[in-house]
Amino acid sequence: MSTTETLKASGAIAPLPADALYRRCDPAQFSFTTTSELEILDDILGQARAVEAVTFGIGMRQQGYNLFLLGPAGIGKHSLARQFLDRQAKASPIPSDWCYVNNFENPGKPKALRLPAGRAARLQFDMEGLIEELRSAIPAAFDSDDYRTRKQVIEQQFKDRHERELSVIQEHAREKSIALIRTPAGIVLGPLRNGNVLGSEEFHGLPEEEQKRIKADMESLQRELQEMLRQVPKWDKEHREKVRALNREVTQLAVGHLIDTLRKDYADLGNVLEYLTAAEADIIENAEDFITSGSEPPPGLPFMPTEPPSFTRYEVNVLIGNGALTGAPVVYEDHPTHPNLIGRVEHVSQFGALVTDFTLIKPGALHRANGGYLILDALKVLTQPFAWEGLKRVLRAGELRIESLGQILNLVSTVSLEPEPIPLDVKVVLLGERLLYYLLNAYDPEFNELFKVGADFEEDMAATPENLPLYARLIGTLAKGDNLRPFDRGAVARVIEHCARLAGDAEKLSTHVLSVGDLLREADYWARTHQRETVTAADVESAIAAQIRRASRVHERINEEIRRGTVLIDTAGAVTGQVNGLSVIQLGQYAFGRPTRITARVRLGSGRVVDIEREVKLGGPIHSKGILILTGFLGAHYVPDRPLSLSASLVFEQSYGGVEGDSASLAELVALLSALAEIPVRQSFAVTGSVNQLGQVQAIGGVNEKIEGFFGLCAERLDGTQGAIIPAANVRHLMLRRDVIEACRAGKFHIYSVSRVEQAVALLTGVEPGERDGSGKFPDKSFNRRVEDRLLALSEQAQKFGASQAHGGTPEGGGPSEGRAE
Amino acid sequence: MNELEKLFEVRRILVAFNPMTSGTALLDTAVQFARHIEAELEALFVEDIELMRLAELPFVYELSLPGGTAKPLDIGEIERTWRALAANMRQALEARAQESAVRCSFRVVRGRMDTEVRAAADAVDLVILDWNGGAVTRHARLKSRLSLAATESSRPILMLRGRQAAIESVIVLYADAESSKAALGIAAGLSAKLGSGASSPRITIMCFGATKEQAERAETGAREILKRGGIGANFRRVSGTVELLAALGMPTDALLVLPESLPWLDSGEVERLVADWQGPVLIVH
Repeated sequence: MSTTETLKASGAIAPLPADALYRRCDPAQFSFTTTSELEILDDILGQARAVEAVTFGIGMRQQGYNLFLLGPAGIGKHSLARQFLDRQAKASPIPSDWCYVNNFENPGKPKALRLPAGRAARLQFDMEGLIEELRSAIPAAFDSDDYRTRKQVIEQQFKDRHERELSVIQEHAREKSIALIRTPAGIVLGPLRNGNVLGSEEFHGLPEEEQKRIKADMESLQRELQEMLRQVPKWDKEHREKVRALNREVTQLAVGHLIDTLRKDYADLGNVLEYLTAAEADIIENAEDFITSGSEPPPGLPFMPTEPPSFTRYEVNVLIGNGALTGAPVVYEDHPTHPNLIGRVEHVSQFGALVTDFTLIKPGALHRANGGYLILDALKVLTQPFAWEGLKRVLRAGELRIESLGQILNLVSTVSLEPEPIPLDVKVVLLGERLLYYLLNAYDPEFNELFKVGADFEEDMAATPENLPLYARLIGTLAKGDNLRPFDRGAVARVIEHCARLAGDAEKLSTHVLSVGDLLREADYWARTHQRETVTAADVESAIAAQIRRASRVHERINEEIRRGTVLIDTAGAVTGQVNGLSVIQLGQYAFGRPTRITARVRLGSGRVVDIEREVKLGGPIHSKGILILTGFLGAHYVPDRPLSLSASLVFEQSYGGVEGDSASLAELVALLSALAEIPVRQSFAVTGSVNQLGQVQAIGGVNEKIEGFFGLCAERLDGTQGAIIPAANVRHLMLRRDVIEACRAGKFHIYSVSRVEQAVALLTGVEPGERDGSGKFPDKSFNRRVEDRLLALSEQAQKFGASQAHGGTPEGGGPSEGRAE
Repeated sequence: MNELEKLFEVRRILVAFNPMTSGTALLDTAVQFARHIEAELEALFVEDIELMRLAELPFVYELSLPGGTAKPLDIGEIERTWRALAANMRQALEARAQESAVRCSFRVVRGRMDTEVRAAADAVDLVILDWNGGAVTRHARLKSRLSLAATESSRPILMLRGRQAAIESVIVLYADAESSKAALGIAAGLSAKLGSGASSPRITIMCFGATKEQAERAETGAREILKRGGIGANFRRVSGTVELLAALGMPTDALLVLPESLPWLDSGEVERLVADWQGPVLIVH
């Protein structure tokens, strides 16, 4: 079929009927009056694939089957994860409690105790009670007459032994007239005469024999005394050991029956029994702590406060107590720093030094979620220093080892704790954008091993007759969940229509639950403002209008500047080489269409179409691709047997930001062809669509915003000539504003859909494009003939120019020809 | 002041320190005792001249405690130690005396401990000695103290074991003999000084005899004496040493008042009694 025939047969030249511009949701199709009558929707709507993936991921207990829920923010990933995990968790067993206790052999490595759910707190309470009882029982045992007597006997034995041995020496000394005298540091022996110690003079006055005898006696006695004194430390040690043994025995009597009571209570828990045995041994070894009430300040530090002995080492640090749970835990950590995930060891300051013990070990989210599920925002995890590495490390190792960042990075060398690792059994659910998922897939080799299940969320769902009642229930469920007023049928229908608009497709509905929820809440606000008990379509309309109004400052300023002539956009008349293109600007959640003047200039050249946006680095690669496609179309469509001998330039006038995408390529091609054919283009139209090398018009995005953007500019001067040309493939996406539809219905504004460049040319120039006849020529005065003739003329000019250049002259006919505005 | 209280009229107390072994605990107790009985305290710091003399002999060594390592006796070091100890002791005494509003003096002498104490005792009414220090063995220490008490006929000697808790009771060993009467009188007078009414220490009279009859006679005599003074007391009759020792028990808050000599009790038994007593002992001649 020829192009012209296609044109005629398709009837694309006629504007689209008003009904094709909007897919209305008929409230009458709903059987309910308000959403209060609707049942709660338990299922996740429109996310069958994601639901299937999540169900699979949760069901897989093997290592590495953690989940990554990918999709845009607000799509309902968190709600779905929470809903499924809560359901699964209820049917799962309650995980064990975990606590840290002192390691009496090595306090730097606290021991982890696993207890059945709810029993860690009981053990903590029991140990507190035990220590409290021992604080009175042990002093009472040491205050007993029995203990005092036995200790006195030991003391007396020691003293008697000492005294006995010294007395023997004293007696020997007395027999030899030698005195034993105490000094601050020991004992001195000295010769006696008549009860007095001999001085040097008196001693040397004695006969020599006598002096020798005294010396010998003193040496003998000194050896005897030395021998005895050397034994004193040994006796002292024996004495201390006897006292210690007595203390142990007495403490054992006081402690034993109390610990035995606990042993019976925890007879089923071997690890607790081991702990109790170790604690008992420590209590017995340190019984004096229970007797003394305080200690003297260290020598030289009188300012240091004296504190009563600490019994912290017998405390139980309940890290995780799951006694209150009814199933497995589901934990969401909204601040996933490394310590908040893995846990940390806190320190307290004592006289300028940081000290810690096992009671200062704090759990992380992974501890709380152990035996259950942990939900994390992927972006937050990735942006917290070392949180991602830490998470991967524990998932790989299958155990939770608490290490501070300082320890991991060797930044601090102070002695800290090395708590015993805790076995980890958790399913981690990461939530994040698709981009993150694919980046992690590409750049982190461990990601695939640890997060084997990706649940990809749909951003829209089919607006089928079966889905509409379900969507109505979703609206009702969201309204009830937020305690909003009931929505009547009309309001529900209007919300559904808006959701199709959010999806950018008349046949789809957005699954962006956050946006839907926002609309419902804001409609409820307007119903309240209007003192209505039920939310109506008018309230929904008010909410939508208010959303647009709040976000449209920039949009209105741009339109204002166009109307004032600061930004040049014509909506009437005809100009050669100039077309109104349409672009979309996204500011936050608000997108709007902006008309842009696209101009083209041609001259003799080497067949190159210059994209000025690209030249100044304002054009993106896709835009440049679109421009190169135009060159291909020109060469193949008009002068396939000759080289293109033009130089053309295309520009987005008054565009000062980046330009990306190929949705303006149709407009650019028409502008270029207009410049070549020197046929003016109607300025009452705006054009959007991309083209391929074959001249087919392809679908673009943001069609509604683009049409509304141009309509908004023309709204005050509509005279029935204005309209927009869109790709035929975009017709199904149309969900236009009511005022646009009304203007179209009234014949004041027209929307044309085209599937080929020729259709757009015909609409924009009013000139028949023309088709090659049997001799391969376009009809006279047809648009295509004018274009081809110009290209041939340029080609001939180029040949002449080339020949004259070769002979050193100038071609006839002067310089290059350019397009001209009319 | 009644007749008994006159027996214990103490205005000046001598506390003698052995610089080698006495500490501030003795000082504390002495100051508190002086405060209670409103007496002036005279501290005597005796530098043992015998050590000085021994230091002149080149073959004399000091054996360390514990361990018994021998080293030459260095007189210079001993003198420096004495000076430092004396300065500390003086400072501590003055501070504590000021806190307790007790008048005090401090004197350093060089000589033999017993000689210096005897000489100084003439000017005071009571002598306080440290149980610790002095002789190497307990036995020798005790002999020394008792010997001092025996030769110093007019001055009671109070022997303290470092820091002493408040005296809650006074136990007097009484026999039917003249020497016991003085002890009883002093005990009663001291008890009256140490408190009044309910706060006064309880007095227990151990009426001692070799036989039950002798013990009964001793009780009769003691009752008469105390009745004259208007002082109430508990009386216990004990006959024989074994019964006496069992009856005494070992309270640390009781002051044991002993006559310097007791009939029916030999010196060995007195030594044993005093050696085992854990509280303060007052020996009255």
